[in-house]
Amino acid sequence: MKKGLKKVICIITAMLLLVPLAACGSKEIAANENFPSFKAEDFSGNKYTESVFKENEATVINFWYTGCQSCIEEMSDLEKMSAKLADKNAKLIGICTDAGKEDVDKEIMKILKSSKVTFPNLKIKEGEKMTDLIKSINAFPTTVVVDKSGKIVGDPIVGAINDEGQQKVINERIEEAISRNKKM
Amino acid sequence: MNRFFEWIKERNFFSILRKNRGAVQGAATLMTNVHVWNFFKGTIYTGAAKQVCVPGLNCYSCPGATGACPIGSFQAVVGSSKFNFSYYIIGILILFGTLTGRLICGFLCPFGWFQDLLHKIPTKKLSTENLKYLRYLKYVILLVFVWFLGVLIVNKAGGSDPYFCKYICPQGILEGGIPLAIANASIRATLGKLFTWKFIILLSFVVLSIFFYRPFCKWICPLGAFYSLFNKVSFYKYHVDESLCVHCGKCKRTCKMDVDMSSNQSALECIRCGKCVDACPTGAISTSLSGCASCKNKAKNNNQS
Repeated sequence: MKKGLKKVICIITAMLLLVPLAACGSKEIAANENFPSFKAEDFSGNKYTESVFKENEATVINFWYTGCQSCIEEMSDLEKMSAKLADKNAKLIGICTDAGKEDVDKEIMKILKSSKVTFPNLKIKEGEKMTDLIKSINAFPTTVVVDKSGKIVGDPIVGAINDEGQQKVINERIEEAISRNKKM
Repeated sequence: MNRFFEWIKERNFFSILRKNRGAVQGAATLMTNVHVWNFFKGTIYTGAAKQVCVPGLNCYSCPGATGACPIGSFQAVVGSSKFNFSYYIIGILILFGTLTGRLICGFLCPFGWFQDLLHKIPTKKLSTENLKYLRYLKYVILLVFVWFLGVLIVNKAGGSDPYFCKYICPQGILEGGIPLAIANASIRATLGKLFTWKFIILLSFVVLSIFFYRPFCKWICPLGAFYSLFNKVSFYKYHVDESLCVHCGKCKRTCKMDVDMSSNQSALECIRCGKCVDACPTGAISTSLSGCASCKNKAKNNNQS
């Protein structure tokens, strides 16, 4: 009886150990999922919601926070990318995930000014699913491409977009978004 | 309070811990990395306990990490545009150092344990006795990479990278980079030249640790460098009873950190591992928490008479 019990315990433990293996990566930011709805504001007082996706062929969302030096360092590259995206009717939007408190907002404005950033950066005001998505991100910066219908295109890109490899991946995602729009 | 410490010494409680150093190291590594499931999930724990520093060198980005790395935390504060120094973290490190000195290195640091385990691999062992000048390097790394570079080399917004974590620390790759890259596809996709460089550093220390004893602790670790400054003033110390010491040199020959306990009980390199205590033929060496042989004999005589 005891030996049998031991075997059963071993099998159950083995199964329990294997289950987490199936749950790799962030579930919230997954390809072809709808980007969650949200209400946000940029630092000039303009209001944004998920309707912004309809206005562009592709929207590139860049998640960052004030303590992330890699995020701050890639901003000048993102600013250049933003200008190029305008040619394809695509838009780059930053979302600062720790915005909300007055002193953090001041820091954000300082960062945006020193990096000479003109593309919009948002602070999320409302949206439970959006807040969950942001909480699920554990590496910054994370960049997500969204098509016209509000669906996420491909896996999120983790890390600064500061080399050719990453640039290529982003361009591929944007092209895919645009071709998807044409099919619809 | 004195009675309490006398009682501990009589019961040999800490001697037992000292003689089972491997088990203590294993337990410390597990307690420092409690969130074991996260290794499979490819995420890191970000809850409240992460705001507390652990005493050893344990990367914040380790999926299992219970708390924060003190060196990483210091660099995060210095790397923000608002601060050039962190009194809070240095204060905590001074507290740890003053309590036990480099006992932390010997018993509570996961990377120290890693090197100890590698050193057990049976090969010819090489001495670091003639490489003593390399020990100054860790103090330079502490001042330059952990502190000064973070203050001086800043970006447009006034912040900087954690230079030690980013360019030198092999523990971050062993505990953070590799496990996360294995379990998380997005992170795997970001690996590039920096990962290759850090991986080479890790591999070098793995190989060096097999032939030399604790090369990282001796030559590179800024945390060990900081704690070493407290060996002289810590509450937990090593003592040598001059009346028992016969200057045979056995402690010096046994010590893998190249310390001569008979002449210097507060050496910067002493990680308080206790090998010399066991090796001493006359029992002259004791610690603050275990009685010396002569004290034990005195106690025996008092009980008998």
